[in-house]
Amino acid sequence: MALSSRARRRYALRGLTAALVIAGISVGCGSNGSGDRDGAVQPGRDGADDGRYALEVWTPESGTRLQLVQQRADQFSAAHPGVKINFTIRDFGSYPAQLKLALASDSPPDVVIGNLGWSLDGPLIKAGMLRALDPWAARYGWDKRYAEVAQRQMRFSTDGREFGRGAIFGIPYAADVIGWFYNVGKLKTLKIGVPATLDELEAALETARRAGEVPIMLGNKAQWPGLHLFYLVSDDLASDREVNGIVFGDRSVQWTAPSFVASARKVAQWNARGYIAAGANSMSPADALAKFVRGAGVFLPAGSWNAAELSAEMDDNVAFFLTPPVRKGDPSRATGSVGYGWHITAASRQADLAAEFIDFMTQEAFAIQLAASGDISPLDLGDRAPQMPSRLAGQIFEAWQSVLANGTLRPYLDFSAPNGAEVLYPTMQSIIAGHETPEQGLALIEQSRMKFLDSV
Amino acid sequence: MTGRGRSALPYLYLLPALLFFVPFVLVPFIHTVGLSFYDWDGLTRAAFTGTDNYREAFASSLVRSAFGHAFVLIFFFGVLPVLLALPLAVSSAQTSAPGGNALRTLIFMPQAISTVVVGVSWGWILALDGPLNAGLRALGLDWAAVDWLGSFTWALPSLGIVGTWTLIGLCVALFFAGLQQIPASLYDAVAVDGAGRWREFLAVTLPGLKGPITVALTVTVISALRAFDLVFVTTRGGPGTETVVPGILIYRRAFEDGRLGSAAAIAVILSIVVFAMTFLINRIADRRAP
Repeated sequence: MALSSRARRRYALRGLTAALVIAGISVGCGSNGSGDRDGAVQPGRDGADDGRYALEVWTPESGTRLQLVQQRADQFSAAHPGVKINFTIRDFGSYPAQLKLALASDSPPDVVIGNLGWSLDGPLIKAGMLRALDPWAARYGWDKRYAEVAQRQMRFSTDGREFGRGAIFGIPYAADVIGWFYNVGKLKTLKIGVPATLDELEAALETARRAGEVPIMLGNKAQWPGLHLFYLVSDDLASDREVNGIVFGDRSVQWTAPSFVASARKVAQWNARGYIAAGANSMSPADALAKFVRGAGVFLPAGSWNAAELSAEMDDNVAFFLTPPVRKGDPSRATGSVGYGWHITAASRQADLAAEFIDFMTQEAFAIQLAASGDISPLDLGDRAPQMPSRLAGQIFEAWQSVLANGTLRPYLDFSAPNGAEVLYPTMQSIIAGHETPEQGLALIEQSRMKFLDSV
Repeated sequence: MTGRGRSALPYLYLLPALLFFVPFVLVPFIHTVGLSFYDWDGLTRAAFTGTDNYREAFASSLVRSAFGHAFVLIFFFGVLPVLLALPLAVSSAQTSAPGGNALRTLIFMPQAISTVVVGVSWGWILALDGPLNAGLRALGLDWAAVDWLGSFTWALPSLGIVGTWTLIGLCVALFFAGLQQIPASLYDAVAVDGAGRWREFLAVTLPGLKGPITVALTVTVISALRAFDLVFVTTRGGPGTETVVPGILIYRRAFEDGRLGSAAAIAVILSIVVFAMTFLINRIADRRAP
């Protein structure tokens, strides 16, 4: 499967020229291949003479997470005199394309962040560019460090054709979960308690609408936020087997299952009843967040990654809960992920050092640092959780820890195929708008998923 | 000069253009055509699949509707600006009122603004609580205030109108320049024949503007077919797939889904459509030659 480096370079070149024609853009030549940005430095080959080693590391991270990652890497260097960590940081949007080029170049990096499922990890594994981490997983106890629901998101068959089973290919360090943010003041004014069941949630939406409020603030111009709203319903109505089946390529499970149809129908009904903000289809997620901050909207269905901005703007007037269960007292199920994992490239000549670095970057000490910054990690910290920076961060942390402990974490359904933007997102938007029936739309989505599974 | 030197000279003049055209346009285009016959994810070995990518493209309702949307945009980006720019250019050429130049500059202005800025600005104007709807409501036309870019009915026409607004200035500038080339004696002649304004327009102005109209249509039709940035900024192809155009599909398949071959096939089809439309416009213009 692995190509010679020359062949890979030829294909990469062909891809680059094709990309130039297709997009009609010009690319600055200096923006790629930063693995050798210091001139002739070749990973693993440079410093053996003078006793210095350099690990070339790629990440699309930004903001606080990036700061923490770099600080942690500095600590690794401090503990390992002679080891230098060279970060190459690329923006999230262009990261996959740039990483592919870097991995196909003559000087590929040693350690890279991927992205779950078929969007990036799958193609890289299929191309033989990443290593199965099982030998080191056993040595460092990675296979026992994570709950199985989290670990499964990092597994792939070694030929890259099956997701969710087989070897561990990535070791995660940060996580995300989708839930409901709400305006605390508005809930109080409307005399609504935090919903404990799905019915109570729907009753709260109706109460908010009658009071002239926007029950659900949603910016669906990007088309995926509508799908996230769907998750918040399918978390309750679909079973673990159904969700995992869709994501991990089980052909006996289909999008047209009654539970998914019922979930889609419910979200479309919410829209028909006026629960979803008018103009949602032309509103960006950032605009929806800004409106919610300014006091428009009672609930904001969104991911944990928005927490820092929300609590900075709204202090204690914003809070968070996971979709409440159908039956009172049952554990909440939630859609979330263990984010991106650290990978060791097949081309790295210092895999053992890379593994040691990855272990250091994913230890509990780092999870505690992340939590202290208001972020969540794949580790169940139990009573070792630090003081959280805000009440909101504390609520999200607690909710996240509960799904890890209960094993009720669900993978994102859009991990099931890489072409979400072409079929899944727009079709879900059409279903929610009532432009397409749930049955028709989900059949289209399933057809596209099957076509993809056949092509893998 | 020797005969040999004379025959080489024209190529020497072409050389600077060829130096750019060959490596940056021709070679990548040939690469793209080649790629369109392969199944390739950008990483693993490409598999030759013959015309599969083309057959998939023609069979896909999404690809067909994307081209359908592009043809709708031709009306808004090409036909409408030309129709509106003709009277604007003619009337502004006939008046010597002060401020005429300033007005023409103003009409041309959208051409000078980056499409991303145009998209963001119009996204704001057309928003449900934006100024356009505020104006409609102020006029008592509440029923007409809709979520223009989020509506399954209005999103594509709304995008089209933004294109009309952007391209009308280019057409006015081209026509205005063309009008200056029409000899005044022709106007004198039709005036002697007792022709009215309308007759004068049909007999002198319109034939005189044949060249500029052909150029305007060629440029605007191509910009309609290759529309990407405006769509990407304002609607991302939504709601649903109502504003998906070929450029959006090419981008997603090439850069998000890792289906380089399929993206290349759509790009090749798009290029052929562009060539065909350009050929057609120029053919029609030639046939109407006096």
